[in-house]
Amino acid sequence: MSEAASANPATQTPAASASGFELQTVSGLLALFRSGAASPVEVVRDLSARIDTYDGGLHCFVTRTPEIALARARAAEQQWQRGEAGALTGIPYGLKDVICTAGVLTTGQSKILQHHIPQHDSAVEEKLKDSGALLMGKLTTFEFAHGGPSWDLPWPPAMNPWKSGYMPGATSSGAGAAVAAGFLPAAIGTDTGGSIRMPAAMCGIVGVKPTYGLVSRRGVLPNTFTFDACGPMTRTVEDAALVLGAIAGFDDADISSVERAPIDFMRDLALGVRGVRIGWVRHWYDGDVSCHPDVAPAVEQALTVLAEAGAIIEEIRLSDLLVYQDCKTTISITEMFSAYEHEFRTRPQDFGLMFRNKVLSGALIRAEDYFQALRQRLWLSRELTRAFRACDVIATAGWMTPADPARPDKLEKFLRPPNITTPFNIGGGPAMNLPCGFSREGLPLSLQLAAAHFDEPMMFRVGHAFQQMTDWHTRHPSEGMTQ
Amino acid sequence: MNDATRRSSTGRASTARSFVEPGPGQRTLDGLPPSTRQDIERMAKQAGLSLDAALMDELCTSYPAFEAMVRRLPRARDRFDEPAHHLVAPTRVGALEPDSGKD
Repeated sequence: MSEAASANPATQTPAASASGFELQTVSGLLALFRSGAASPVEVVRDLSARIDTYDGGLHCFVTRTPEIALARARAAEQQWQRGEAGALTGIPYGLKDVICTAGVLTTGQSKILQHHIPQHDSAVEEKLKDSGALLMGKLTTFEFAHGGPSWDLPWPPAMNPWKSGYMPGATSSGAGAAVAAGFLPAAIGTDTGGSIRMPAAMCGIVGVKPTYGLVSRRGVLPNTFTFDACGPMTRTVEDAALVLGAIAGFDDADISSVERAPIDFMRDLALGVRGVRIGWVRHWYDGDVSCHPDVAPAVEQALTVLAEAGAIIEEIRLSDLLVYQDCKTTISITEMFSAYEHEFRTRPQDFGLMFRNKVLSGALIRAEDYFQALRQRLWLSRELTRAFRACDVIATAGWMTPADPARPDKLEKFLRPPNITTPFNIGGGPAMNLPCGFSREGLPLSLQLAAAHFDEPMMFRVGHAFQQMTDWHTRHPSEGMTQ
Repeated sequence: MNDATRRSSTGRASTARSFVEPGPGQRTLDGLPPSTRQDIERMAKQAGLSLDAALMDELCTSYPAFEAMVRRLPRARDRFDEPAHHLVAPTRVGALEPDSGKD
């Protein structure tokens, strides 16, 4: 265990008022429901009380839906009693507020859609409803899942439950904070360049960007059509596999949806890592650029754990992060401007400053530049494909730093240092962040795993094995949980 | 593929197997002079944007970073290099109702 990982007293502190169901996992709650030891109604009431107590300081929710959750919980209770429970019957969840819900405010955290109540559910919400899960509310994001944190929007940004005054990462920020805070055992975020994985890293939870085309984007407010993916945020890899199983599937109404045989994401969880080939991309965070000093030792320690369990670790080199980032951002700002062009022409002042500053330039990108970025994307995707022929999984840092302090007075740079998560959006395959330690300030650190297209079972296999051998995912925040 | 020997920030030498193919040439637009404020105002007008002075100031402040990014993209590609795009069977296109995906 690295010094940073072991020396932090905050990580030893029990979670604030951890007496009810707030720290139960999805699989743990299902076991309780199955045995009759707990009911979905009492879980909803317990979690609602916790949200009442702590969300005033964390701002995880844009809209809460306790009536919907309780109504579904009563139905779930009967389903369990009748032996008719589905995959997630009785499991509370939240949706990032870019995922449309019929009759429930869906704002994109933007003044542009401040009063927007969709008429139709997104495909993801349809699937979760069908699986018996309980919608607890809509979760804070950055404006249209891009460009924050912003303090000039109708709602404040979410804060990190691990430390007061720190950010939870972007852009599925409310989802990451809510799961870490024990408000929800699972949430659904979206990931275009790392927006599920970054808050998972900052909040010490698991965040999964599935293979592009595996989960329907129908009814999700667009960020970048080329990269947008919906995925689960949970406390364990096993839970992520469970939730992904409920939301994956072909959707004829999503042009990017891929028609293929269903994948059993739980299939390989128990296989361990003996003989698994892991390509370790160190130069992205330790060498070409400087990461926080606690990141590299934590990632190296995580890989040591996997190696001792029989994984074969080989250091590999891919293109520099900036090469991936230039390609991704050129595509993203062009597509985002296109998606919100009407509002940029008619009411640009109604976007938040951060979103405006990062997207308005998309109007000036020439068609040939966009096209060259798409050609570059195929080039980089081939590089990853070659790597995945030699490796079952690629491992690297989940993020370069622990959570950042909130700085409402500071305008973020237009282009941040390259994201270590973005290469796998370029490639399109699955990627996942999971906790692997703590900084000396008591903030979570994260390991990133990625696999070939549709090989989520291999990624989950390695991640689950890691969680079986470590206890980082069992730590819970306390210091940032203020009433 | 080739081997690349390098040194990490901790001073440890490493030999990593590289999957980086020789790039499509290094020709970029890096050498072009940065757009002036007048250039940016003209491009915004051509793009149909109608911005007040404050918003135009914002655009003129933010755009240079994006311009530099776009100009770093490699340009010397073989003419047969395809873009990443989706090939969609006509049946799928037909299956999409005009309002599908709308909220």
